[in-house]
Amino acid sequence: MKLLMYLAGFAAIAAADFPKIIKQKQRRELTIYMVIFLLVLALAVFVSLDADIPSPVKMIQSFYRDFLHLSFKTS
Amino acid sequence: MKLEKGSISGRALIFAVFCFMQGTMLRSAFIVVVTKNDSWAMAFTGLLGSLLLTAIYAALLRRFQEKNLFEINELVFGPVVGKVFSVLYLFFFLSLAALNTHDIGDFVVGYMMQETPLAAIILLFVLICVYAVRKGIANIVRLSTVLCIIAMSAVLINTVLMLNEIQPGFIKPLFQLPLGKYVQGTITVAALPMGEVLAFTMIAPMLGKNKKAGKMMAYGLVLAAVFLGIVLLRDILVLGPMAGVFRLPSYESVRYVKLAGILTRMESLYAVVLIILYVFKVSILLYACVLGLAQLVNFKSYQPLTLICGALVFFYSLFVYKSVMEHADWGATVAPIFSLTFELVLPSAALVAVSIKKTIRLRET
Amino acid sequence: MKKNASKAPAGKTKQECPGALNPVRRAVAALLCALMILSLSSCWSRRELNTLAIVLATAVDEGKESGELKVTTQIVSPGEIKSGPSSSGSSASKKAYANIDNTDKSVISALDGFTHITNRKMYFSHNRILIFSREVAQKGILEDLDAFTRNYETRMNVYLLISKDKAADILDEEIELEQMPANHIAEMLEAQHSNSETAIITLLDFDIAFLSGSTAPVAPMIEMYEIDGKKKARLEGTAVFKQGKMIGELNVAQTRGLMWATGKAERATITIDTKDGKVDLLIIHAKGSMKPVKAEDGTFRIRLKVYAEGDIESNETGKDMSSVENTEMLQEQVEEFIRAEIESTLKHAKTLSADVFGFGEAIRRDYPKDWEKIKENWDSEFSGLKTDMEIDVKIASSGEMGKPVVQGGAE
Repeated sequence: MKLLMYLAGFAAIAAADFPKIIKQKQRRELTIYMVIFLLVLALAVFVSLDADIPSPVKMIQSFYRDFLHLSFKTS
Repeated sequence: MKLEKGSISGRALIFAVFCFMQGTMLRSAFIVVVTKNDSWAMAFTGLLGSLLLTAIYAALLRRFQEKNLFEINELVFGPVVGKVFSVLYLFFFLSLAALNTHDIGDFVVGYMMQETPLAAIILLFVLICVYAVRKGIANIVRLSTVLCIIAMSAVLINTVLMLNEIQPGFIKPLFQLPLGKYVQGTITVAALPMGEVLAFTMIAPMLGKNKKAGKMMAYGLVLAAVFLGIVLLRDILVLGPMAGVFRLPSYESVRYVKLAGILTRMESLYAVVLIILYVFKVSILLYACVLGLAQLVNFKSYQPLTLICGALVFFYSLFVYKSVMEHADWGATVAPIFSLTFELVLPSAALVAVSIKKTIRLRET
Repeated sequence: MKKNASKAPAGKTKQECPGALNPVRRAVAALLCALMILSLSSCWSRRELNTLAIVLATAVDEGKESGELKVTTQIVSPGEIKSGPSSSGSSASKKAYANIDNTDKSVISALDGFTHITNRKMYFSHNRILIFSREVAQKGILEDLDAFTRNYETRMNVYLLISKDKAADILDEEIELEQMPANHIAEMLEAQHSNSETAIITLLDFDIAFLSGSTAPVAPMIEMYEIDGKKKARLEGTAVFKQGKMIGELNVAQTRGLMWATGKAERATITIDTKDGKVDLLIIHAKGSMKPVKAEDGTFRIRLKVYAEGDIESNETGKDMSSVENTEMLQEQVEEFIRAEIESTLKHAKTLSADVFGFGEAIRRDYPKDWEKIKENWDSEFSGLKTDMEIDVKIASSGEMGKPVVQGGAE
């Protein structure tokens, strides 16, 4: 159900942006846009499946806290 | 490379900086937990710290007139290393946008509409920000003047209404905590709300030639610090030791207002202003992301990327944190240092590199 | 802030300037507006008024089994609220409120259990008073208060009361002036400023006093009495807490002494017995402050300053109390009276070993380093704490009259 909504959303995004890019006939821009689009789409699929995506912020937190030992203590 | 066609006045920049800060400042629990009843002083020491950061940004912007942060990176470090730095900055702005969006989504869902799934609220929020960025960030920045007046009036009205609940004794004992707490407090205030003025280095080119972006940012920071001090002082004097207990001290102290049985439930005013300010903040952060991404891949215009960047922020904010407690833990422990890496370390590196280049060039001639 | 004028210069046709006139754009705009209006109705978390049970007062008693709590809530029946007070003849009319109770192991489970009994969801944002019975207070109310502080709906300015008997009975008060006992009691509490004999405590005040570690929180006490067959409620006395449990009481005079000392007294009526008869004085302003003073040997004394300003309300002596010597005599007697009240409170508080005044907090604020040393033994320190009282009373006027009206006074 969620997946369908997200896919519909992405279709809407594509409908809004693709015509402009195709009209401008810039192949390079088109390919880069497609790459980013597909990456975000993949992310959306993972999120909609309720997969446990490791949050980059949490990884950074453990990086700073455990590796660099640079964090404040909670009082 | 001018990707942005709009232009803004210096005064709009001042108010934009103020509005940008004010959103985070109304959620002041992150500082009250650390320095308790001396938190109001942290507003001013934090201001000094952030003025140092602004000086660095101003120096960079002055040397590279009409260039934004990402362009400066490429000019200073060369195309390859510059792009690496740009990717790092982009990640920073993206994370900030996601964290703030998750923040306001949590606020709305937690305090008002508990059954609504977070995704629905965040979706509406991100849609508004995407619309703002698509139509040109100059419009939102111009709006900041009005928004600033609204936010200031809301704070002042609430403060005046709470004056008869104030117990002046709460502010004592003054400055009794160990020094380390004050250092931590200063760094937290300088890095978290105030240091995020880094995002304005992406907007500064819109000022036009020979305008002092750094000065405007500094004025905005001073204004924001004054209001932060007022809000913190007010909350400490009304709530006393409970200010460090609540998750949203400002919200609870505004809720306490009960004047003549008529002026009650002012927290709705507070909530509305908070949401508007957060829209503003996330719009600017989203703009920074979109513009940065466009420069990274050498697009001629950033317009096609707005929706996709908005979608990225949307999904990122959904999994950036699982609970409010984790977010608070992040904010108290690592967030200031993480922010400082991007607000202090990287720009200083750029400044140092520029100075080295200059001296090398001088020596060659 | 689109400037359409710049996008559609005069003379061009529709196809050449895709602006707001484009039908596709119009359709999209209309769709967006419809979507936004839909979201305004906030269907997801909708709370319709007729599905809410608006709680005005909450009372917590002991349940029949040990370890259980009975929670009674007073809910508004909106349909029964009439614009004027109901006459006593219409006893057949329904009450404007309903008291519903539920028993469970803790306050929160009792509150959640209400969903098994009523068709409406409890809505606490209008909860004005929170009453705990004396037995519950003696066992400790901290855990229950935590639920009320943490919840989003409940507000911190809810008034706290301790009932001498059963808390649920207070909610059945029969009053003619108001339609709901909860409103009556809440407004009665707000009007207590005029006698300064009751401590008006909100949940925030209680939590702050408890967080301090040295102050003993207090809460006003309320009891039911019968008159003409009707049950009414009366505020009398104050309950003293220590570590969340009720350990003692202050009577009315001692409560006023507490109010004088902490500067919370506003208006008060004082009756002085002079050798010629009684004189009543109305105190209009009162200010109090307490300052810790450190003696050379490191011990602390508290300097209490009370300033009260009042008028002569009634003079039953027949003598002219507005003469200067008599006024001064009255002032001294009032000062003695106030001093006696405060000392009675002090003595009782020392017996209970409960720092209801907040002396510990005052020392902590002004001498934080010394406080660190003595805070462990605060109980014993408090019992031996000496106070210096400076009480200053000013009688500003004697009402409209100077000399009293006595027999043959005009001759």
